[in-house]
Amino acid sequence: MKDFTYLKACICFLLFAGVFSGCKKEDSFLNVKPNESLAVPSTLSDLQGIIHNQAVLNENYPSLGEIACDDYYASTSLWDNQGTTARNAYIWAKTVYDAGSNVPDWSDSYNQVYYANIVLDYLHKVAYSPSQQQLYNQVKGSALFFRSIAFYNLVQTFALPYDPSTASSDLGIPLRLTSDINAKSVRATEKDCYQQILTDLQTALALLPNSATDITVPSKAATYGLLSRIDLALGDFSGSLANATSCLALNNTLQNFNQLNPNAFPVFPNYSPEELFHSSLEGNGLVGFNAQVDSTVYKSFIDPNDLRLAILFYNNGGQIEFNSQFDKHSNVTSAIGTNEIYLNKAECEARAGDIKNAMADLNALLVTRWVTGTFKPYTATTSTDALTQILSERRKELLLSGIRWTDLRRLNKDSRFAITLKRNINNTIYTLPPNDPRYAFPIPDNEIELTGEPQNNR
Amino acid sequence: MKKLTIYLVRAMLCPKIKKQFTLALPALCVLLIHGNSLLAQQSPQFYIKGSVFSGEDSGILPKATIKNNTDGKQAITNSAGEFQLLTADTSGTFTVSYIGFKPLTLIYNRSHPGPFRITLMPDENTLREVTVSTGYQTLPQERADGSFAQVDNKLLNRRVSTDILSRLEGVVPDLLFNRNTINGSAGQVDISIRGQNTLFANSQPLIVVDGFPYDGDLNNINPNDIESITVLKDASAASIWGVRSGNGVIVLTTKKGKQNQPLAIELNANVTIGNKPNLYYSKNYISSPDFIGLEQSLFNRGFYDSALQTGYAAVSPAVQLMAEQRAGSISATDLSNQLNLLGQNDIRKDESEYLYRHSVNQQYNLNLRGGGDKSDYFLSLGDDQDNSFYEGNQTGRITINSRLNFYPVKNLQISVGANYVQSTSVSNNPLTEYGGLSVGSNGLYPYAQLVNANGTPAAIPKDYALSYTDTVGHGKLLDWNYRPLDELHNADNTTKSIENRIDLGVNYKFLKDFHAELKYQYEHSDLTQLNNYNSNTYYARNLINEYTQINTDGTLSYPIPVGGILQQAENGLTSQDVRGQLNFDHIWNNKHQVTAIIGSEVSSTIASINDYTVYGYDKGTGSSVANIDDSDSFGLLPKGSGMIPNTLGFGKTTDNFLSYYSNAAYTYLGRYVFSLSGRIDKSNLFGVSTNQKAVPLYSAGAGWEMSKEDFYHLDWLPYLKLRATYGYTGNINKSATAVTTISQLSNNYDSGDSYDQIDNPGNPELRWEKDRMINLGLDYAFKNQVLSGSVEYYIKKGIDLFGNSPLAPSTGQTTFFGNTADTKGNGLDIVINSRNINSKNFQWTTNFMISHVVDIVTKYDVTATSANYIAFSNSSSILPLTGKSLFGLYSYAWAGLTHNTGDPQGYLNGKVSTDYAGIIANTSINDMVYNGSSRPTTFGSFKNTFAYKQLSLSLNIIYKLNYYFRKTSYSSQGLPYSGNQDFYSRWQKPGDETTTNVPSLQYPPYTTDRDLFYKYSSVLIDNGDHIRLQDINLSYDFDRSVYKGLPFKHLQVYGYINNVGILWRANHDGLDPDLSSNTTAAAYPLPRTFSLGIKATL
Repeated sequence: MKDFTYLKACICFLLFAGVFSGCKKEDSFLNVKPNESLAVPSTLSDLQGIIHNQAVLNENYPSLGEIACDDYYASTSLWDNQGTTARNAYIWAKTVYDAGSNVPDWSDSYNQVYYANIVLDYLHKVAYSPSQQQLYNQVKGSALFFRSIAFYNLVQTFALPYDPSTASSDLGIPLRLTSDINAKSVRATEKDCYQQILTDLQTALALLPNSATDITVPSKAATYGLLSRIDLALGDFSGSLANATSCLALNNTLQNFNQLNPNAFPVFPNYSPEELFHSSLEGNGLVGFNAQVDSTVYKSFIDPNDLRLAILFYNNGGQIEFNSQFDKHSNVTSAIGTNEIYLNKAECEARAGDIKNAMADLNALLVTRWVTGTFKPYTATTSTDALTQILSERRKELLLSGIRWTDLRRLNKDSRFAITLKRNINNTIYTLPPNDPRYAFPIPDNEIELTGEPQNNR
Repeated sequence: MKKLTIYLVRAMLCPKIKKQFTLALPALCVLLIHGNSLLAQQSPQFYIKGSVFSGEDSGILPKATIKNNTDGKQAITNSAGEFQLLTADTSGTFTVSYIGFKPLTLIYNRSHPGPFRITLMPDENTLREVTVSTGYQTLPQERADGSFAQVDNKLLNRRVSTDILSRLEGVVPDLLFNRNTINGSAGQVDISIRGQNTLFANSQPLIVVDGFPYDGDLNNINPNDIESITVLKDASAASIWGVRSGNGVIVLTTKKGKQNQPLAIELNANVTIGNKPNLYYSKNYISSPDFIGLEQSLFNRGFYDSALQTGYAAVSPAVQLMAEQRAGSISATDLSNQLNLLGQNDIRKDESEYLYRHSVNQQYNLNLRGGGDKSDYFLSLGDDQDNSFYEGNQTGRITINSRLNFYPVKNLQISVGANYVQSTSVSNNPLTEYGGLSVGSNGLYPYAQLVNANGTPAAIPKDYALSYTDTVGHGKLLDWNYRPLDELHNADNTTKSIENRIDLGVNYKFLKDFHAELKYQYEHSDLTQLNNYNSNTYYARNLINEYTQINTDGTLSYPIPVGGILQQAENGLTSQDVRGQLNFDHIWNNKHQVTAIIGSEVSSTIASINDYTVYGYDKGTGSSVANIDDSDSFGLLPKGSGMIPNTLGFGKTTDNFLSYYSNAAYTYLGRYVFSLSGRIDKSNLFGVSTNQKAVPLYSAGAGWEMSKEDFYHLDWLPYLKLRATYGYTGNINKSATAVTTISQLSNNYDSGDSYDQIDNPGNPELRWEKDRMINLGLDYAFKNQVLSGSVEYYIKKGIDLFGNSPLAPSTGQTTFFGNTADTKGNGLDIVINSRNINSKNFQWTTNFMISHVVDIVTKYDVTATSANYIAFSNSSSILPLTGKSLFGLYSYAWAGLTHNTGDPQGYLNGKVSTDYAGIIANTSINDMVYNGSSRPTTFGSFKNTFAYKQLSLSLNIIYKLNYYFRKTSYSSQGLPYSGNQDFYSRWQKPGDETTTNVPSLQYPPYTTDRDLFYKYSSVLIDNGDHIRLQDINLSYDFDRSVYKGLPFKHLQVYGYINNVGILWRANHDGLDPDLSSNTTAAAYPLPRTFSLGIKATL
């Protein structure tokens, strides 16, 4: 009897040993997600979700240029209270950042590039049905748009102004075209940078819908607008004109300022209807509520019927501060807007000698800014006269929108419009002459240290 | 019949068994046949029978040796202490022996074969048989060739504490309590065994309770239920635990009953009273008048203007007064008088009086144990009530622990354990609740008062200026004042936890040499944290006020209903383990012994969290307001807009393991030991292909007890043993994934819809961390145990460690997490136990331990900037640098202060410089100063125990050497709030630079880099070496054998003082280097505590 007990014990033991070792369920047991919230991008809608990450893709556009430009000025006490980067950028110091620190203007833009690259890389891997082709196109077009605008912003901030004679040797920025973090970063030439941006945006044009339901998502109209902006920076005025025309053909909405309540904050409770694509600048202490409007520009608003005096500015006990430039999150809006596109178009027409259309486009915009019935259309006799007027109105209309830095960079190439910027801090005068190498900000230390990329010579 | 059975077993089973059995089983089957056939030939014969007990505690003694002195045959007692010895001689003597007990010789004859009831008395002069437990098996220390440290019950009880692990401090060599880390100083367990073997994976040792990994809260373990602890330190000891063993293993064995043991009742009760923390210890303080002086100076420079202009930003009362004077509402004389008045306050006095108290911890424990022939039992009840030194914070814990063993038939043991723990902790002190005392983003000004002159609780500005909160809303809003003492009484923050643990085990012995075990454990715990902010709490009033909408007609509406707010967080944990194990143990020819185990286990741990917030909550009725609009944005008072906070959160994590393991040891002549151990772990690593999920880990070892050799004749050194092991342990980090992962989030920034975030860039190369260790050991004992102990040397290597390396930001990521790093290390530990005096009435013993461990990073692919190394080097986290210690401390070289301005100076390109930005940017990794490790590399303890008759006194001294720490000093920008006593010794006039290293005060605009350079300069690095008298234990034992008529069999009265004080420190500033300089929580040394207790045995 006893021996049978042994036998049974042996059988039992080996049975349960077999349960553990031979178990077919082993795979499912070991494939359980260690954390329920983990997911792999596996569907088109996952990728669309990535494209919809507004906190990454529509925010924190570089603001170094805005800090360094002449839209505003800071009192010495406001300047005193800023961080190293803002203080140095304001006075165009040779070194700008705290040593070794991460520079969000750089890394946040490249995070946008990374998001776009993840989407572009995974688009090859996800399965989708023919009925989803339109969604596929929109996701791909959006990714190309976001990558391009990030590259463009980086080039405007960290590379010298475009000069066709030296563009094939001037250093641009690293063109990251893969999400593989092991790929090496190398600074491409400016020519290659713009080539990549323009090619990708052309591809995006073919993929994107005319307009998007949500203006944080790219559309064909926004892409034409961006192309028009980039062409201006490149000095390609005919290209800019063509793109501006295509853009306005899709959407030429302008906001009648008579319908706005200047005391509301934010002035646009959601977005301005002129925005074709919404984005906002990296937060920093200088370009904010306490910044004071450049007094020369402010004084150039001479007509009391110009509603922009009340909409664009806020009179804080005699100090003129910015007002409608802030979005509902109190960030500085850096949208692509129809107002900008009208101005692009007018400028290009003036440069081409088409005075009539140039002034018509300018007036079409300005009439919406005046008290109804009071606007007297602007006129010009020569194309230079038209251009001067248009650039002066451009300066007034696009204050604190992230565009001025590029305008300074490109207009300084033309001796008629070149200016030297001045700052006064503690009675020390700082200047930035036209075409100064300081128009390109230094590449962040951590990027240089880890990649060996060449630094900008300031 | 027997042979037939064996044949059948072989025939039936061998073809079916899996691969891992194919080698082991046939061999075992052969052994069976051989072993059994030996017994078959004896005749005439009869059995001498009996059982062996310990004279110490009446417990049974398994594995005692019974030797027939006539024919030399031997037997060993079984787990019930019983033996049978077959003999053919009609009469003779036999000797019963057991290590640590005096041998006993008895007479037998055929007419009196027993059963004998044999009681062995302990022998103080021989080595005690110490068994070590790996959690899978227990083995005598003699047969272990790995590195084990055993802490017995007596040593565990030397210390009085609510938790179990702190009792290991200073009694286990190689085991370091990291008190100077962020976790350690927050009171959490932060232990390293033999240094640190990982960079970024879990660094804490695996805790095993009764053979199963313990996943619950360590505070739920009642130390009174623990019989002994074994610490597994090297690969040979720990590798049986596989991929969770890389940081060492701490095996807790709970108390159990014993068969045939009369009922024993044990009562332990103690009370511990602690001092208030010494608030005057911290150097991070400047006096109230100086603080106000600095505020005045900054005020005059317009420093507070932007805050004052807002009209609502929180400013201190002094600044408020200065603003009032400037506005003309008070006179200059009034201002000066009021500031003088404020200057007389000292918040430390108020805090000490109202927010701190003497801590009182009470501990009661009752346990019963005993056993009959067919069963034994252990039952324990514990009650701990701890009142923290924070007024209003306390914890309570009730534990019920039981274990029953049944022996229904011979060779079968069924074991049932059940454990229930219920604990409640209350955290209502304003210092520890909801952000602590602060003014805006600053700390508290030193002249704050908690009580007004009339004795009512005083208000301090917290989020907004008092001038704002007092007037906004014109009395229509809820009271917006923050009064810390009111908060103390209104706060209702409790954490309740319930834990259940049940285990079942069956152990069956068969075929003489085998036993099979099947074990199952189920563990479930629920932890609920309830922060009930009733309508009187500042948290609720502040939030309701901020969201109050003042309508154009002057009426108010409340998006957050007026009432209480309840934040609830529920954490659940369910863990299940099943294990099957086959054990084999056979001795033949009195020369060869083979022990082996083979087994498999499956474990699954599921943790879940569930957080939510309820508004308009009323605790009395349990009612709340539904339909809170948490999707729209509201305009806030005083400024901005926001959505109603909702801590809604769910989460679930699963850890699955499937493991196979085996180990075997062969002992020859009782003096040569060879061991082999192997384990394969598979786990649910995310996205890793199946073949990478498993990792095989193995170890091998050998031991040689030289003193048993025939040629060994050193009488003065009767025990000498050499050991060597080699093997691998492992570690994992499940936060890393092989593929790119995203998570879906709701409430998109602009549009409010859902969107995806990329969490992890994905790492196809994901692997397990492996730690290789070679251990060489020597155990020794001099004659009469005058000196005994061990010396161990080890070399270790960390392979494929996870590294968080910086990436060029143009990749879109700033860091990458993968198996990028290697480390190496070595160490030495020496244990010397000395019996200095051993007379009948007086004994003096000393236990000395010294451990030395060095951990070096040998491979780290990416180098960070020198500024990163310098700023981030600390004892809590690692920024690895090849060739340097894991916890290296770095700094800027210091070149003194300038003569004319008292500016700090460093070196730029080899020259003395004050170009701080240049120094920071241009100090290369080779130029920065490497000060050394910020964790002790040499440490140990020195314990002396004096016993006079029944009186025993024990003092434990703990020392930590060879490490460095960064002192805090003042920075001009941090003033006045981040003040430091160094402010007083700053450079003030030329010539001061010869006597001080503290830079002069700078005025705005500040050079940030000047403060930064000084903060991280080598002049602020100090030596952490110190020697501390950790504790003193004094006890008196009453024993019925001495005190006739004592109602207890044994009664011990004990007193205990913990955190006695530092005896010597290398730094000259009176700093306690065990405090983390990185946290405010550790601003004060742990207060001294005094305990008084009794332990009675009925």
